[in-house]
Amino acid sequence: MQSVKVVVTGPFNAGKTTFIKSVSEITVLSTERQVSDALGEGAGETTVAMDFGRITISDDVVLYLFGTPGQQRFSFMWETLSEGMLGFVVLVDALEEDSIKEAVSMIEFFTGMSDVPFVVAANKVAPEDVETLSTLRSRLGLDESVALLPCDARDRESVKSVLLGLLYRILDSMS
Amino acid sequence: MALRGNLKDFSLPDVFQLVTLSGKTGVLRIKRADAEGSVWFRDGEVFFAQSDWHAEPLGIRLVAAGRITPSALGRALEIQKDESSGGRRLGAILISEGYITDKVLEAFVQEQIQDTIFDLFRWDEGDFDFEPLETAPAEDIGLSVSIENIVMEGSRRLEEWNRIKKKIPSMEIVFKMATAPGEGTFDISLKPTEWNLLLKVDGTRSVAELARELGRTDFEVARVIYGLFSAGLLEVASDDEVVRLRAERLEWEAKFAKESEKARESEERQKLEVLEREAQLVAEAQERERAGRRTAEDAAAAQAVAAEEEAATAARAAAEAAADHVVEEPAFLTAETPTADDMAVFEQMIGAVLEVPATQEAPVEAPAPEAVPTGISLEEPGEQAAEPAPGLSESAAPAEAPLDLLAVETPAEAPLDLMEALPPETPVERPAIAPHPVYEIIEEPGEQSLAEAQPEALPEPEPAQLVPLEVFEPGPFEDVATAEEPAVTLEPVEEPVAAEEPFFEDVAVDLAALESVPLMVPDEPAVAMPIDTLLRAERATMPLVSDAEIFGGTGEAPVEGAQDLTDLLEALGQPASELPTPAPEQAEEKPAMTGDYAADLMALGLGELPAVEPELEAAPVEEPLTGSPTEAPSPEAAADLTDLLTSLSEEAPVVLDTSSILGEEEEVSQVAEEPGSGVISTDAFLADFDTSDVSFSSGLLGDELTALTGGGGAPKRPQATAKKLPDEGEHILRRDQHVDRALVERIIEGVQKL
Repeated sequence: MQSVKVVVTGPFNAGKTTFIKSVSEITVLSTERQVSDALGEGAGETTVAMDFGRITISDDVVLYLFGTPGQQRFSFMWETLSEGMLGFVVLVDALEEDSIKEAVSMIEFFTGMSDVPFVVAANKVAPEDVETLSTLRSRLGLDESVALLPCDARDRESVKSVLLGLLYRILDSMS
Repeated sequence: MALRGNLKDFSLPDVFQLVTLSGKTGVLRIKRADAEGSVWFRDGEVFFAQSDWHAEPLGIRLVAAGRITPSALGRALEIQKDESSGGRRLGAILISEGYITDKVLEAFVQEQIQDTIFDLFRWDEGDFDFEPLETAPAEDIGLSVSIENIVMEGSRRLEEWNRIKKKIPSMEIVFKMATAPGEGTFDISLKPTEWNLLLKVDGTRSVAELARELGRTDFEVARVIYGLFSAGLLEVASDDEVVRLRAERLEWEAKFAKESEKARESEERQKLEVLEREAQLVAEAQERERAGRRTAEDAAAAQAVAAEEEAATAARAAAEAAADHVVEEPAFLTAETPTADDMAVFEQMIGAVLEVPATQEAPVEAPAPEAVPTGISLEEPGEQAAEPAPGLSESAAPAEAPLDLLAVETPAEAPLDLMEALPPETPVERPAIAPHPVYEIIEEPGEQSLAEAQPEALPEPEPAQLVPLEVFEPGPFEDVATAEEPAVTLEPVEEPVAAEEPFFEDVAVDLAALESVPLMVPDEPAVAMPIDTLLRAERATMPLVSDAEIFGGTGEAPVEGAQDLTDLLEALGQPASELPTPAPEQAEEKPAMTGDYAADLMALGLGELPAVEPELEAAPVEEPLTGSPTEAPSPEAAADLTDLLTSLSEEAPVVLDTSSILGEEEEVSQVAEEPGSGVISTDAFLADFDTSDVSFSSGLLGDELTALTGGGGAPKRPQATAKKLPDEGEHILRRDQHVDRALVERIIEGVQKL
């Protein structure tokens, strides 16, 4: 069986887990690691989590979705997770100022690390909300060639649209 | 001589004159129906006087004058009450407590004497009686007031009082503010006391009431009102006005009292609510704490049971990926459970990312109560992850967790000192496992020392019992060391190198003999695993930074790798300054980097490069997504590194293909310098690091090993922005080359059918 990988990344609390859960056939595995402070007393523990989903394409092809932790201090995981990916989705919470700011640096990181196609998904934005999309594009500093897609991470069809947008971009890059 | 009579027959000044001329010592008491007064004489001179007729006590006078505070007066009165009868007078207590001086007391007593006597002078009637005394009583504070002065002052006041009585014939007259002030009022300036009086004049209070409310004598208040009245600011209120205004005042006072009561009740109610809320929060916190303790105890018990059961499979379990947290799957989720293939993919990925802790956790959440109920990722606080099938948890890698090394606080300096304490020329007979004392939990009874620990032998500690090792104590290390090993004295020595024969030989032997080394994982108990597995895990997460960036040889500050480590350290609560790697700001303290790799390492005290050139695979390793999207480097590559380490003791230059080790497609070759006389073992080198720190296994070790072996030198990551897509060929990570258009089209069809 051949498996391909798509990475879903984005700032903290942008909706990555929800995004993956919407289309994943399997219950999303979210591994939590308690990272304690130097004293080991539990104060200041935080959770590192990585989401994982699967879409069965055919009997011999499986698409895995890997969600990266959004916090900057776990950025050391991004590169490892991104090895061999087909493409990636940068999910941005269009309603959160901090999310937009973080997304800019994350996009720079991933594009500098890999040349695979990517799309930016604006979560919580309706398709007809052109004005928000336009504003978001300018704030993210996206090139016109970069796809900015509206998305509702809770909606399966919306998430499918984003994935299809990415896949078509991948297809175009192969031509 | 008996001297008594009535003031109707003799005026008080005449009586005073008689006592003074006779030079008598005693007390003259004057009584009338509603008041009583007394004047004390010593040899014909007055030294004290008091009356209860509009009298202002000494303490009140002092407070009104600002000489003492009300609280000081209260304390002095309490002392006087405690002394009961026969105790000291208030003035004496105030002096002994340091509130006033003798001079101040004398001045105020003198004022009190004059006011009292003047009041007595105004009595038209009253019986007087002089009682001779042998000695002066306690009231005698040594003050002597000339009777002539008293009489003169009294007379002056009497004359003034007579003038006042012409306009204020009675103390029961009520004054009010004039509706049409006279012309001369615009130039009037009032003293503070006069202002206070004026504010009280509201057409309801008589002169006597004003005097009582203000704590002044009738004479003082009448004198001020006389002046204000004469100036035209005040006028006499008629009886009707007084009645009406008093009624309004009573109504207003009642309303004000009601509002005050409401405000007071509301305030008390709020206070009660706050107290109740606080009590509720405290109870909730205690309950959470109890629940957390119960959970911790359950988890510890379950872990202990699991450790016992998995003792026989420790070596196998150490190589597998960590189990996941088992979280409850919400009933409404009907998605499939992951298959074994899915788990393998996921575990490989998570192992590559989180350094393969290989520890099975009991299906109980971690002790932190906040993490227990949610079981969610950081992304969605309200959502829950799913629970894998029971079979999956069973198939998860059981692993040993003899020690939770994270629970031990390991000062970074301790291992370094420890190593320096060993005489370089003394061959160190190393125990089976690296005897790092800081890993040992001293407070845990029953715990085996690290040197003696075998994965299958050590029980899993209870998380609740884990106590950070606060202070490094040489004792445990002595337990670990063999009899031949010298005692650790923590004496600084030059360098932990300069063995006559290559130190790596011992290390090579020891590496072969090492069955396992504890592997630090975040929040996991330490897991023993083969060193090659450890190193493989390290390689998978080594950030791609050059050795120059690590050691600052080119003057450049370490960029992404060090910053990532710094961030990780901060996340773990460790200050970045504890980072063993030389930080940019520390580069100034180190010797200048010459660019000569061997010389730089020697200057940094890190030994020299080995001269061995192992034969390694030169072919880059591609990582297709076939069943394991992200593979760790192949066992061959792991064996290569093992061979490399083994060959470090040999005198040969090293040609290292870091691409095969790092799993990258690009070849990076470096030629190491020939080693000099001093070498350092990997163990000794590793001992310099605080392995309780996750960053140790997140890439830092890899960086150091790469630098040590002359590797590194990966190309700097190209700078790119979202505005400009990177140019072809500038990137490090590549897409899976086994995916073609046909496959992508199939994937598109599959996604469309979702």
